[in-house]
Amino acid sequence: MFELVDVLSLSNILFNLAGVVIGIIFGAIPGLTATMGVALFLPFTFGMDPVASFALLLGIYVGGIYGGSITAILIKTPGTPSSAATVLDGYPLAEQGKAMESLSMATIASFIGGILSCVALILLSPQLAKIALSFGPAEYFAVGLFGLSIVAALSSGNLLKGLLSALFGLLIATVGMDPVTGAMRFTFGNINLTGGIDFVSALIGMFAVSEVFSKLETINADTGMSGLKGVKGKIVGAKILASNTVNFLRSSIIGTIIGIIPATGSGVASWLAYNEAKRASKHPEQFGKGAFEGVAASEAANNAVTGGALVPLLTLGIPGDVVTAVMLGALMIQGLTPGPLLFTENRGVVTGIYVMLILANIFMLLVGLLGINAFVKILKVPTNILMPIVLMLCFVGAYAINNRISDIGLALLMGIVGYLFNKVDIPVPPMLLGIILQPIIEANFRRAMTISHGDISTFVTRPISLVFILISVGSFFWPIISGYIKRRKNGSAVA
Amino acid sequence: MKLRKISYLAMVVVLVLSIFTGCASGAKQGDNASAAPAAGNDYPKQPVTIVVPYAAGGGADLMARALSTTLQKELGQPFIVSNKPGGSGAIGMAEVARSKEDGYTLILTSVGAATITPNNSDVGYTNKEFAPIAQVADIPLMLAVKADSPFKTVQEVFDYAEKNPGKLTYGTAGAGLIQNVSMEGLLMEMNKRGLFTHVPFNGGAEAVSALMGGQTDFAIAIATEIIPQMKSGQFRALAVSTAERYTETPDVPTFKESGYNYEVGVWYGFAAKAGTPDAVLQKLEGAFQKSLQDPEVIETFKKINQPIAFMDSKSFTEKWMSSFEKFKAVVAELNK
Repeated sequence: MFELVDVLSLSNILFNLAGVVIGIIFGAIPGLTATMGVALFLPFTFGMDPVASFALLLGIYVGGIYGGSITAILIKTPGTPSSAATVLDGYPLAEQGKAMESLSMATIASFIGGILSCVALILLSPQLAKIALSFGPAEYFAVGLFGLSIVAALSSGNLLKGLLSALFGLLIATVGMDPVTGAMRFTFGNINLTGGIDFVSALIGMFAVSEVFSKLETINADTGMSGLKGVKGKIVGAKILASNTVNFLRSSIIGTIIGIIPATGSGVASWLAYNEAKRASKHPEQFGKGAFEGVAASEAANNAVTGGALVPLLTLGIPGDVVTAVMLGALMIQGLTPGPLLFTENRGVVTGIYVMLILANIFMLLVGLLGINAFVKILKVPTNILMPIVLMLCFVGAYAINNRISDIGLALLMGIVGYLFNKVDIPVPPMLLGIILQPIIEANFRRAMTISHGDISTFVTRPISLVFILISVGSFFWPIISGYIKRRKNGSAVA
Repeated sequence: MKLRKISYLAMVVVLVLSIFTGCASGAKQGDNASAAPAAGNDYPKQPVTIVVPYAAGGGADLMARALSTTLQKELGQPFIVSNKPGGSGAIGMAEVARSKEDGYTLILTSVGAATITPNNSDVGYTNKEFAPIAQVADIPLMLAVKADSPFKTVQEVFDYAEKNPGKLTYGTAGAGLIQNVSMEGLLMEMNKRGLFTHVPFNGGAEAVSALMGGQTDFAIAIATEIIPQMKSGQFRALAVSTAERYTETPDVPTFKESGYNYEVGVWYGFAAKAGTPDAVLQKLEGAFQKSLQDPEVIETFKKINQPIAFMDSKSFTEKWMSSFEKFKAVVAELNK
């Protein structure tokens, strides 16, 4: 108990709260991500004690992952990659005047996901760490394939267009250095392309910049206001929350597991949870048109990644994503070496990290719920003022990722691509999925083949890999089969 | 009027945020202000930019930030760290290769970006565009196996591979990085290419976790990635790539002791654009030497596991240029 008193000092609590607020701001703005927030504030923690330092950094991490949902719901531009799936249902809900309900659902789902992953982290760390280790290249490939299989579900009815979009994403993600030989591919001698297509810049372009273009069309010339209805209603009701109990649990588990597996991340988690929620739903046709379940799944899963990603970091010293890689640096700066020894030699610090992570989630819930009234005011800003600001932030954000002017060009280009895709009804999410998953699928396929000395059966003889490959096949064909069955059942009446 | 209030608010928010992001990008005043050709005596007259070609928060970034404080104390002008990550360090290097020869843009580079990447592909620079100032850190590589591996010495690993060529796999942080290129260089020298099968991962952490999970047979990784796992009993290091035994691990023999000509390290050092006046370079060299004796810098380097290894401009230049030529030959052979 002495430990707890030390940990919960006023300064630690304030650092944590400040971190959450900073994180939400970073998360909400397209282009500024949780990763950037943590990296930017890392030098400020050099002089702090370990727990204070993690109070701040974990606050930024948790707040940043959550903050992305605010702009995703209100202006259809995900603040961070992890909230891209939130757009699909969050924005339609806002369009129906349910912005406050949608935001509160996102906040509560994030809180539940975050807290459940904390519980997993605290109670099951050593066991969960074993999962991380049992994943070799063959298993990563299978998980990547599984991720890709949900393209069918994201294709909103037109599988061909969905596949086209996904293939385009896979293609542009091959630009840059070959992961196995180190040779340059599709760079055309341009040094800015050697690092590949920057994922966040592409996301900003596809979702945010393209949305600005689309909005230009609908601005009412007289008032400058877009067609978005006024905000009514209150926060989401207990009934809707209760009906999502299983969804919360399932999405949090998906998020935690994806967090634990190094090198996958919150972007993958939210899409997988979204797909599973849709598949389990009694009315999957509502998804994409404003289903609370969609928002709940995406947000619970991406915040559940936070606790999951800390499992391999603390127990094995292996960072699960870019944010935790920066945190590894933060731990080492404090003279702490993550790994099994941390738990025996620095028990107090570990307890501190747990407490701060829980506290960060509580602050996120409070700040989020109290802030909803302020957040929805964004909707009252006339479109002709808001959209130029969004566009400018997009470009500032794209530049800030790598301090590269060429990334602004990339965001603009992807904005045009996204806009054209919208015009011809090609869904954009499968393209995003392709960009996220290409590096996982390609590099790990080739690594697995190298390790097995060219024997392709490695993917089906390793049990975890086999299971994921079977699920992928099922998941890919499920929307097609279920659609067929439904048509058969309903007969010609619907057709 | 309400609407006006909101737009004011929006404006303030945007302003504050632009300042934020300005900071995030590590304000680069140094680039813009045009400097009169420095004779050297009055250098530096304005803030100096240190380009770090790696992401913020990483080892190189933390070193640069620690040194920037003491450099400012020594030379009286701010030293501003500007992160230009991407292309294995090539993007930042190319930018400095295009900068002015005035000593106001420096780079903290590393063995890979300086001596391997430009040999691998055309990245817009070679070794000719840089004037090396000082090496600041040097971390050895280690060959490590899992604790339950049958291999107890590096000799046993090679002996087994001789009988089963290509069967053993080794993981590294990535294709075309020093861990990979130097090992292939050794095998070429021994005329035994293909003895081991290389598995490139995405970063040292992934290579370490693959070894821990038993996905690969051994890893070639930097000492700081191996030592924590050694201490916790998960890994056994069989050899280290230093000339003498590494101070941190006195029990681990060197490759040399076992008869393998493998002496290599992941070094970090500073350079300016070639053609920078000698007086400026000397002033900087002195400032780096002093900075590395500063207690706070020593403390920070220790915390981030970067062994300080100062090397003056002359020896550092020789090391850089000779490694460049050596790896040029290896990479050419690898890319055949």
